[in-house]
Amino acid sequence: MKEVNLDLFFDRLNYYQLSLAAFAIAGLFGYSLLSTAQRKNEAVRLSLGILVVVACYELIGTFVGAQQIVNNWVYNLFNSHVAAILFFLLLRSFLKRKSHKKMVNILIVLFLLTSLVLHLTGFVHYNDSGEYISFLNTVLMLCCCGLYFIELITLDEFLDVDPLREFSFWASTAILFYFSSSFMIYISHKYLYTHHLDIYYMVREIPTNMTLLCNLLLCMGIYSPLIKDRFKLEIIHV
Amino acid sequence: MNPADNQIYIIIFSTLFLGGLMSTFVVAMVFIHRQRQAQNRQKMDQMRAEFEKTIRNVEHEIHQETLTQVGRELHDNIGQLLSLTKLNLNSPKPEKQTEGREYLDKIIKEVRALSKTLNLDWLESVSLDDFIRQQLEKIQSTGFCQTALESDGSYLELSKDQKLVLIRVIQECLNNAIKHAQPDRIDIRIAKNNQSRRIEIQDDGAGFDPSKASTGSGMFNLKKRMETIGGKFYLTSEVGKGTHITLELPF
Repeated sequence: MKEVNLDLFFDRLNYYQLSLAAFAIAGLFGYSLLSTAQRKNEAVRLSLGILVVVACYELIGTFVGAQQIVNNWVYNLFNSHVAAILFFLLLRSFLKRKSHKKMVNILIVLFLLTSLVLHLTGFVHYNDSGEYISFLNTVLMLCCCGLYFIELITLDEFLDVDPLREFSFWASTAILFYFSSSFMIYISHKYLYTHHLDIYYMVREIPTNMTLLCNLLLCMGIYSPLIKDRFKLEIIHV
Repeated sequence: MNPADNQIYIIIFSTLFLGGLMSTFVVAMVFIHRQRQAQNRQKMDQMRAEFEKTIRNVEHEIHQETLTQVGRELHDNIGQLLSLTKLNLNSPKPEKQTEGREYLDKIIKEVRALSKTLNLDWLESVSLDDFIRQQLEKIQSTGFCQTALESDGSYLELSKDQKLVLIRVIQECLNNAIKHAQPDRIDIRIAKNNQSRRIEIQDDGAGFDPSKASTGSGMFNLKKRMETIGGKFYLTSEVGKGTHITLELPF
């Protein structure tokens, strides 16, 4: 039986994985301090879910990679599917119109069905670089963000709020930026990795830093009700 | 430049382009939202000004109506009573003089009651039901037509502005019925359902064709007034079949 290589795993841990783990722990700690009513907030729950999932799959991915095993399946499963669905659900929680919520549900089902069909027909493999699935979930995610922004500029409920103080606005913007900036990198992942490794490592910093920014924002979303209660200061309204 | 370099530039530029596009999109969304907020504020200010104007007009009209009523009362009631008093007090008979003094007491009471109506504060103390009852009693006492009020008390709680507008609209509806419809009977029914409370004014008078332009502006004013307090105004009428008016106000 092959021995578990923990040394390489620890060697490969850098600021990215450690920061994500720190965000997840901070999120769990913040969530434990929230009141029962605050914990019921869908956006807070989903933010915590995303923090934990992202930290877990990055650590699993690093661990699997450290064992000299191809770790693409970890990212294909968790990043492209689990985390993506959590992001879909987070965006859905920001929507006010029932028809739009229904649309997001349809997009989730559509995404899962397409992914299933692509995998079953062998068009994509669970351990490939995941360009098609990334392309699909990015396009659908941009549609969901579009729904949120349409509501922002058309619904009367948003007239009384300052979007710059709303968690939903910043989270949607972060998701929009994360997915749109990572879009080209994910779909050119294989090409860059094969032909231009130096550029691959350079552009990989974009989704890496966007993930950190996104998770920092979600963490702030969990702490915002706490800060409001303790210091009577509302940085962003969740 | 070799094809591989081209592809790298395409990837980098596409990434930058998408990022730029998204930034522009988000900034545009915030800008549009801010513009909408400003437009909404302007609209709200306009609506508030219109509401205040309507309330001022309503108060003025109620004043005018009250003055007309006071004038009528002074001429028809107090004037008559004073003449009777003068006659009785001039009489040498002691019983007539006693009667004259009784008339004087009655005049004092009538004048006091009348002076109260000159100030709009009486509107705050009177409920809408009481107001409608008084109006219907006045109509009936003139022998103009029979009246009836049926109420479940759902309009007992109203803000001053809502009460003012409703009073004015009801006064206008009753005036119109008396002036133009010559009904034998006017019925007012106040009731509520789950979402709203309704006042239904029904007369069996001449009726009219609501689509005619001459009647349209009056209805439009009443409708607009109801809208300023968040209510609705419905009218159905047919020549020879009376008129049915519904005033609806949400809870």
